[in-house]
Amino acid sequence: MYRPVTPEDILRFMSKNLQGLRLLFEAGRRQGYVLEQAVFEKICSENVLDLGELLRFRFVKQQPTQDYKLRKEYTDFLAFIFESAALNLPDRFKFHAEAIRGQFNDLQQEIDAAKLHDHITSLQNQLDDFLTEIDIQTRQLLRDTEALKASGEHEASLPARIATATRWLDSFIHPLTQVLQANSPDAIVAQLHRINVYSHQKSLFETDPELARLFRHLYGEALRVSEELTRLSNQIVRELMPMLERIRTSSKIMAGFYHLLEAVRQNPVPNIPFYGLLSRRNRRVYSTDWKARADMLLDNFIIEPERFVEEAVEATDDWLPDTNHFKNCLNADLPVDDFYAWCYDFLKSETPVVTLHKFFSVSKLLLDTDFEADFLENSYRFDLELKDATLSLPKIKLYRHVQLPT
Amino acid sequence: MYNYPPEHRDIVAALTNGQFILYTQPNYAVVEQNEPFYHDFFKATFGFDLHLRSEGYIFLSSDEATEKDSRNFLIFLAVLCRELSINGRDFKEDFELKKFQVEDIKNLLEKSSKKDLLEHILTENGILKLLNEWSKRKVVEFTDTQQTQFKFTNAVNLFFEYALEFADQRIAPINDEM
Repeated sequence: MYRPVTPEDILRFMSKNLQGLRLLFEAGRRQGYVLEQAVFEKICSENVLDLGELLRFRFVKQQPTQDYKLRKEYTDFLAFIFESAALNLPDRFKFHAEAIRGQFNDLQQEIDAAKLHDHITSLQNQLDDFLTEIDIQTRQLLRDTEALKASGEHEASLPARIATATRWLDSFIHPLTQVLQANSPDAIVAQLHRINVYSHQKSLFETDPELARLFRHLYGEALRVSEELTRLSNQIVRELMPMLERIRTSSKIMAGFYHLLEAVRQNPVPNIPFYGLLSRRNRRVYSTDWKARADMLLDNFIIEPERFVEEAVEATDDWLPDTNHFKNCLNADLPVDDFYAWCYDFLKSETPVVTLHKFFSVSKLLLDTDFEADFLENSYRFDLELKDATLSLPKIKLYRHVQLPT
Repeated sequence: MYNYPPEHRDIVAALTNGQFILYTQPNYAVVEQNEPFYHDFFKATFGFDLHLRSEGYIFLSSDEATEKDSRNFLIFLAVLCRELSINGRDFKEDFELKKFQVEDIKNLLEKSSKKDLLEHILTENGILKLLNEWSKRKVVEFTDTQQTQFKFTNAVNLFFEYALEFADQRIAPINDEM
């Protein structure tokens, strides 16, 4: 029996099966809300979701591929109530901005007063759609970013984190900020400003009270949208972007450290080309006394082998003539055959250097009265080499002077 | 005759001694204002390169430097950041704002699965020695006289910068293959 579907039925069904619907919604969120048959049936059976009911309320429709697709009307509603949305490509925002511009142009160019009403409502809806979408996306990004931030940075998750943060930044945030940028004449903010001015003027000067009221509504809507956009834009630039940038940077640092530790593990002395910091030691700026100080310091480290240096004693000749001593020695050797030779030999034994002066101080004993000299005639003369002279001397015999008894 | 700034001697002594000059120090502004001069001065006098980073620190580098301390410090930082992250902390935020207890850090590293890479640091007083060395270089700063707690200065960003470059080198080839 055909039973008509009433809004109450739908709401009742939804409230009764919210958990199961949520699981279907979450499972499909990142895949365009298309669920494979097996996944879909598993979730349905685990959560006691009646397939018949789902089809009756047109919650899902089966694709020719047997997969199930959740209807957009419901997914939009669920995204709103669960505050959970799939990220849209930034082209969507451009598309919205284009649509707003197109509809505003149409409104301005419309000459048929009867159609003005539709144009105004359409533009108003378009503005609201645009704002809602950006709002949902921003909230979603903020939540996801917080979740990403909270998920511990384990090595395995690092590349995925870097990739996610990079994708969000490059694919959503930067295009989104471009759409919201105020300084470009094509930007949505400038467009909103024009709508504002236009609708304000119209609301003041429009003679038809109904149209004046609609223009006033449009004015209010445009004002609200631009205020909200400013707020969201601030949120994106001040909160979301730094947070994502930070996650990306930290994850990248962690990845760098991870690879570094791996490099160290594989090779305990890895070639880590760090910036070539200077080691911590006192380098003195070059100054005039630097070399002297360095030499003094270095001297302490040079250990030379021990070297014995003989003291260079100056040879002092302390020989003094001592006639008594000479006489005693001569007496002991008497008789001598060759007096001068004896003098020489004697001096040699007494002093290393025999000079003329020393020689004479000894040889003068010849004249002493205690000795008798025998000058041999025809005896040969011989040369005596002294330090400072060469003497040619005769051979002289010397005897003790014997005193004859008187 | 060139008019050297009155701080010249201090600046040269600090930088050539492997220290960083931080933006919180008065000498930072002096070098910043005379950057071209100091750039040439260090290059011509010692053959060193002067680096002035926008995050607020200055240091010298040399092509012929053979110091080993930075390698140890890098490994220490790598393991520390890893442990903080695994424990759900935002290590960048911690490094900027938090004071660390030497004892806590030691316990944290002791528990790490990468502990074996830190053997030379985890000896008796090893961490304190490491921190001491880097506090003299102005990369960490003890916040009490007993040296039980410390914080990192801006100069630690140089090590993060290095990690980023290292990641780029290692990740880029993988992406190219994809």
